[in-house]
Formats: sequence, C-alpha cells, structure tokens
Amino acid sequence: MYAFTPSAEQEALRQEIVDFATAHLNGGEELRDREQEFSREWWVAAGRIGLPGLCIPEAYGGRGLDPLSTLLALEALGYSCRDNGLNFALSAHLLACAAPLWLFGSEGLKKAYLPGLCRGELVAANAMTEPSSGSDAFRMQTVAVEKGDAFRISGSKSFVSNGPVADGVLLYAATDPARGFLGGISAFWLDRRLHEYKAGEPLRKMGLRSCPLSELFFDNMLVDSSFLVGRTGRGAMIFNRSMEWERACLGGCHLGNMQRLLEMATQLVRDQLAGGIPRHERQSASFALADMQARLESVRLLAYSAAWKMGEGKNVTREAAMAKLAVSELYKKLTLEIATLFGAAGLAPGEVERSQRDAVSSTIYSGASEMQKSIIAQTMGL
Amino acid sequence: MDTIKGKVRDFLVGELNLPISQEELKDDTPLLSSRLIDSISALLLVEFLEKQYGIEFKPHEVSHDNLDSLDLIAAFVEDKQGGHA
Repeated sequence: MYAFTPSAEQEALRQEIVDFATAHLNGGEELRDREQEFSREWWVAAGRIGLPGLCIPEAYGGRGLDPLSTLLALEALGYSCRDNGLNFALSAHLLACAAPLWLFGSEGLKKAYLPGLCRGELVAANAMTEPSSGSDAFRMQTVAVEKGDAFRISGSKSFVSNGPVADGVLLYAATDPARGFLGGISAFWLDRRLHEYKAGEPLRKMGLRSCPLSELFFDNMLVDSSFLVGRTGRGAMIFNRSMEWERACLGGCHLGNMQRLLEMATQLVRDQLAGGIPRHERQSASFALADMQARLESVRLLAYSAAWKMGEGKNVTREAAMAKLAVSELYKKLTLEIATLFGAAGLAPGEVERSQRDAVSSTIYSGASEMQKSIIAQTMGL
Repeated sequence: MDTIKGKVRDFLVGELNLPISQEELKDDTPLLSSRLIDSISALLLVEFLEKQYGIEFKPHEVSHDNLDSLDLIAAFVEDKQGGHA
C-alpha cells in the first residue's frame, strides 16, 4: 500500500514554486486574457526554476522529477500562478512535447533541443489534431512520404496549442495511411528555423487565452530522417505515452487552481461571518464549500495515485484516464459553483470569472471525457 | 515457446488487466479480433515484447497476424530471435 505524505524534497519543491510564482509569475494576466496574448517574458521567467522541464532528466537540463513530483509541482504552479493559460502552455510543452522527445528521441535530437526546452529558451507545440479527424485522431490526412534519407510532409494540423509561437513542433504524420494506428503513424521533430511550415493566425477562444492556438500548414516540407522521433511507425505509441503523461500530470494545474479558488471563497464566507452575518444564514454556503473540499480531496487522491503508479513503472492506462476524467469534470463544475458563491462578482472580469472560462476546455483536451470513459470501459472488458 | 506464452499471459492479465483469468486465456484465444485487447493495449504489448526479448517490430509487423493470440505472438518472437523474420 502507499500513503501520500509528501517527502521533505517534495515539500521544498512546492514551496520553491509557490514562492517563485507568487513573486514572478503574476501580474498582467487580465490584460493578456483580454488581448489573447502570450508572454515570452513570463515563459523565460518560468525557465529560471526549470518549470518547462520538470520531468526531464538533469543530464538534458531538466529537473529530473518523477511523475508524482511533477504533478505536485504543477499543482503548486496552478495554485500560485493566476495565469491559467501560461500554466497550460507550460504543461502542454512539457508533457506532450519535451517528455516524448526525451523518451523516444535520438540522442542527437535530445542533446540539441532538450536543454533549450527545459530552460525556457524554446517553446514547443504538439501537432496531432486535424480538422477532419473527429474522435479518431489517427485517421489523419497529413502524410509523410519517405524519399531516401528524408521525408516529404504535406497536410495541416488544427488546434495546435503554442502553435503560433513555437520554436519546435512534435508533428504526427501518416507514413502508411492504410495501417493507421498500428504502425502507420510516425512522429517528427520540427525546428522552426530549419523546416518550412506556416503557422496560421492565432485562433480566438473562450479560455486559456494567453496560450495561443493556431493551425499549422505543411506543403511538401522536406524533413531529414534524423528528425524522426522514435522509429518509423511508432507515432501512435509515442502519442499514447505523451497523453498518459498529460492525463496523469496536467491535472495538477487544475487541482492548484481549484484549491486557490476554494480558499478565496472560504475567505469570503469567513469575512461575511466576521462582519456579523449570523452563521445559520451562511450555512448553505458553508455546506457547499465543505462539499467542494471533500470532492476536491477525492479527485486529488485519484490523481496522486495515477502519478505514483506511473512512477512505479506500471501500466496506468485506466488510472490516468480516471484521474483525467475526474479532475477535469470537477474543475468545470467547481469553478461554476464557486462563482455562484461570489454572486454577481463571480461574473465580473477577474480571476473567478476567468477560471470558469479556462476550465471548460479541460474536459476536451488530452482526450475528451467521452474518450476517457471509453478507455476506462475497455479496461473493464466492456 | 511455453515460457514466452507464460510471460505474455502474465503481462496481459497482470499488467494490462485484461478482463480474463490466466486459466481462461488459452493459447489460441483471439486477442485483437475479439477486442479483448484494444489498440492502445496492443501498442503496450509490442513495447513489452521488444524490451523483454530484445526484438524489433517493423511497422508492418505490428498487426493481427503476429499479435492475435499467444500462439501467434510466441511464434513471431521465436522467429525474430532465430533471425527468420
């Protein structure tokens, strides 16, 4: 059995991130949300304490954290940095780009790119989804045709987080379209300075607005085979592994954001009680907050459990899907419930209002809730 | 070959949590075609076989032909180890 008592190192890590983010990663988030603006300055600042490379080994410039410590670090970030878009951009960069490059990339690619990715010098994007792929992301139109020691890649990708500002892209393309998921998809690392692709205009969106989103276009782009990540045909495996990291760890940002909002709402009710409002008149709010605290703690333990098991080297297909499903669904509900406690103030531009918008997409990215349920059901023999 | 089947059976039931007991999982029980193994689990199985037996699947070898039963898996691994595949 296991107990989730953070180690002294994990406590120190949490405090380090809370202290740093509180001092250096706050301010201007409302403006960036309104203007849909990515802050390279904030990204570089995050690199100063290794946030873009939390789980990457120290040999490549990362902090070498195991999955549970990575989750705890992201939870500390979500708690202390009010810019959820920045937190999401960092998490997507780390879990869906840097981590698979570390796990599957050649030594040459790792040495060339991971240090910059970990230090905040480079921004990465994961390019998988296509306009026509629907729920089966592997039924893709972007094709890579091998020509000697290189590939010619044509097609387009949609909804690429960090797309407009990325210096590197982990691109998935069909090298054998007929085979699809089983051996037909390959992964490539693109360097914006070397590979000729175009990023579309940033797409407008309702939440996470400081994390830019765009399409990417590839027109017979030449990519040397040395930029293949893993072997030909291993794209599905690489993508699946990166999604496990996302499902197990990205929820840390949401847990942290929920904890902060819960504390704000709790303080609001405490202030009302201290101001003379009779306790029985605020009992419904107190009960609502107590219920939220219990639900938050339950999904937190589910997330910790999945990340811990992942660190043990176990298969976490089911656990990661359950954690992702539970955390994201609660995130969406809890941000709305907390806004309700704030009354009209919960609708005015600000952290409470913004978090509601930021939370909506959490049940969509890294695989929608329906997909998580499908994965869980399959592990149950259904 | 029995050892290969035994280790793969352990992996499928113990690690991948297939909803079937060790006893029920026969050597010829269909895995992929019966949907007992989904596509994600198939990839995890390939990863396991490569690490466990030091073999390498080529893209076209990640298929039902080589993964659809313990018999087929064991034959494929033995072929690879013997340098026939």
